[in-house]
Amino acid sequence: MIEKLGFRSAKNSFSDYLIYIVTMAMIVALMLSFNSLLFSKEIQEMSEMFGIMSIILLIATVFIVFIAAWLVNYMIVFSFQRKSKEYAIYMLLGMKQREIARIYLIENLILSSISFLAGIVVGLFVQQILMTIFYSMMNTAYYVSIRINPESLLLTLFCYAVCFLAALLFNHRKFRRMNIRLLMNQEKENEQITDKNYRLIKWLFPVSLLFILSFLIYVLSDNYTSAGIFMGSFLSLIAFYMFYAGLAAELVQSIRKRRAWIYKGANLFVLRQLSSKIKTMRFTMGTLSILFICAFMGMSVSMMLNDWQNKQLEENFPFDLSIHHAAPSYSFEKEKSEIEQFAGISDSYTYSIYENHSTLFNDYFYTHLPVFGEKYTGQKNISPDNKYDKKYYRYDTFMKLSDYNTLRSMLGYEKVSLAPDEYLLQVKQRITPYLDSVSDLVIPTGDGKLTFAGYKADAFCQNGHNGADYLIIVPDDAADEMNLYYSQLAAMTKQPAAKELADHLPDDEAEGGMEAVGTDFIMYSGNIFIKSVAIPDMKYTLILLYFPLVYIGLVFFCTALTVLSVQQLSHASKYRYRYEVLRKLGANNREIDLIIFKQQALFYLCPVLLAAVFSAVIIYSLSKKFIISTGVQTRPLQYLSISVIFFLGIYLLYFVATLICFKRNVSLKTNV
Amino acid sequence: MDKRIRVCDIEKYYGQKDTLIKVIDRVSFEVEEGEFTGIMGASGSGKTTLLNMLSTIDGVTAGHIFYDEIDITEMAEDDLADFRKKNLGFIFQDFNLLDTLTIEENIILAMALQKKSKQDIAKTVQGLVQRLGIADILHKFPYEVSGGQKQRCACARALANSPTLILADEPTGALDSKSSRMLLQTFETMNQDLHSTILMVTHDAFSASYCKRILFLKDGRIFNELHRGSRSRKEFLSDILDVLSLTGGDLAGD
Repeated sequence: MIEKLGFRSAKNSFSDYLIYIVTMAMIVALMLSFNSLLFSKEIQEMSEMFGIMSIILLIATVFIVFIAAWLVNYMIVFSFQRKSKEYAIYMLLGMKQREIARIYLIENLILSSISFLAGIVVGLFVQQILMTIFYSMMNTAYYVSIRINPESLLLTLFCYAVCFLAALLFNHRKFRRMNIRLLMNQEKENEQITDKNYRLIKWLFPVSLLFILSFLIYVLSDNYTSAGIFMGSFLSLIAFYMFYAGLAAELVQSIRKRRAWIYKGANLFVLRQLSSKIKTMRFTMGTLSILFICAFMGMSVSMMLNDWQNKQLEENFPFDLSIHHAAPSYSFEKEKSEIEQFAGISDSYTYSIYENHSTLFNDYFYTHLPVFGEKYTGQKNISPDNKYDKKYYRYDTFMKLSDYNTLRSMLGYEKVSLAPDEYLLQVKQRITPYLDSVSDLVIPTGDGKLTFAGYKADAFCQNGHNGADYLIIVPDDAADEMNLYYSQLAAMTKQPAAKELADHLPDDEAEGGMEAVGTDFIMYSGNIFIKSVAIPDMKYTLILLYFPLVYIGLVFFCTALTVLSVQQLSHASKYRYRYEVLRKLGANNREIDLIIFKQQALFYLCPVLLAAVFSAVIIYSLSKKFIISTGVQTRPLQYLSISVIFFLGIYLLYFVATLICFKRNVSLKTNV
Repeated sequence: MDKRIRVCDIEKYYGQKDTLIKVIDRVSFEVEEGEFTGIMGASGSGKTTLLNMLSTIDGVTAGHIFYDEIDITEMAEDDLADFRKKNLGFIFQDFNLLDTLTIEENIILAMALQKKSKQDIAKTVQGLVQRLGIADILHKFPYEVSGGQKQRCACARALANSPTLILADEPTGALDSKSSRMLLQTFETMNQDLHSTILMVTHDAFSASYCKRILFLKDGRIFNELHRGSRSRKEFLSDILDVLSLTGGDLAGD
């Protein structure tokens, strides 16, 4: 009998909780596919960084389990409240607490098994999509093969079980304390309608809103400190919770003041529904907002990384091979023979970088690049004291014009010419906006001086090899007067070099390590750059960062939307009754549809609107920083708008599904 | 006096071919403007079905219902909603108040749905609540007031749009005797002072004795009709009880 009741209860809940079941299935699907990345043999072999990837993915999984457990717990509490009257009747009929708990357990077991199984099936397909994306990012062909990896299945099952066990244990006491009177009353507690004690609460709304807005203005001002951001973000979290408590009060206040719009159509009805819902859910609303913010941020940051990868990576590696050696005139004979053996050399050139014991240009960049801010303003001879920051070499770096032209022709660029008293700057594209007053810099030579003739910003391997960020090109005579600084080899190979080459090339950090790597935000540094090895490695590292971010973002977003949907779709009978009354008051079907739409839209917008504005400002400011430090040529709002469009799609999907189900729920018994 | 509502030969069937149940069987009657009419009958006699058809909540199987010259059995659903909004006021046994709105807001909403101006609404609400004695509970929620007060709020809401007809379905069903008496006196006032036309369905003889005319329904047909005329309420009550005894006296019945 108990089993039968549990089974029937599950059947009844199925349609009410369909959106929840679908979301849980989706979380399982995502979990399975990301776990399968973790256990994929091919990926394990692909890169040495696999260990880091598994750690990052595991951390992401912990987040996901945490949030999924929250969702499950939320649903358990919620459905318990909903069913409380039913349980009270069982108890009146003499059923024992343990038996009721069993009914409840059976119901939950059935529903969760359905979502788990559905999730596994969907997960098999999502896994293929994920693998295809992963491999195409790594420029490797992937052959679709559907198979279940037992380790990833077990891990997924384990995580899923943990979510449920945690939630059930958490609610264990609730069952132990079941009391008929409490159960009878619980259903009524679902929505709080009172509007007393607003004197204090009404301040929450303006105060929290003001705080959030001023924090955003602070972020936009660009004059922030990390301590300020940290404190501000923390307080904003609290402010979000306060905001929703205050918002409900604010709505009730404006209803009470009987403003004119209260008297228009069903506004009064819609607002009262909304305010009582927000009031009941004020804590949940705050949590949902924070989930939305996490989702927006995660998505946008991963978008930035992806954009950087697509645009900048190729620019950093113009040569197939570039090798650095700290010795002033190193011959690279051994390296060349290895390269010849493993990839074949089609063109190569050995050259030196020069210095003149001055830090004129280093000082200029330390004081003019936004990366350094105001740190060095007004200082001179900065670099010798900063040998540990590894941004710039100890001295300014120079190159002979003839070397420069040889390298340019290797890369297929046009040659350049200089008058005997001129110099040229070769910089990264990103540096070009900050060269306004560089023309004032004059380089003294033995018998005169060199003046600025212009700059070039072609891709030129400037992360420590051909200078850090910049290189000063001078006529050969002028370079001959300077000191040799370090040696470089640039080469183009006949075929892409494989990983074995890297293992065979000598890389003696102690003897030949680089002094500086420039100011790039994300970079690949090392004495040896092999394009065909570095680019996949770099991509792999970036995927490491942004796959988990997208993963977390997606799960958080869908969790938040599920809570919204379930809130609207349960209590169908209560809503049906309310809309029946409206119908009896003469609202026609079109009006009812409009009222339902308004109610749903407002309810759905409520937690996402402020979250969207908040994350928009933070992401805008973050993107600006990102663009400054990486030189990606993108408008700051682009990242935000792409992630907003992406999420809007999912959001609309949930919204429409909820709207349709809701309409079906409230129009069930109308035969007019 | 104009003939406001004419019910002509209406029939209502429920169910499919084999399980067809005739709930209303060729019922005809008229309700004059300003009349306070009661419909009595045992459970299952078809009184609520009759009320539902009059109130456009349910359609007829055959026959016609005219409000003045308008035949509501021929109207489309959207027009019916409009018709309900303009012409009918409802009072139900379970009050049908919206629990998220205060007493005052429940009345306001009924008028706001009809796109009335703020001034109009405020004025009407003031007048109604004074008359019905609910001025001091305006800002309370339905769960904070008594059943009688809720029902008076429902009356105020039904009256708010000055409807052609007020339909009351067992309005005293959920009230204690004191509240019932107060409500029925309110109905009398509404009928006499505000000239509202009221059609009340009840199985309670005491409630029915406040009406001016009573139709008795049995097995879907009208089998008797009583006019109060100049009789006192007590005399009318004993007449009603006499008629009821003819039906076996058991209205709470099966």
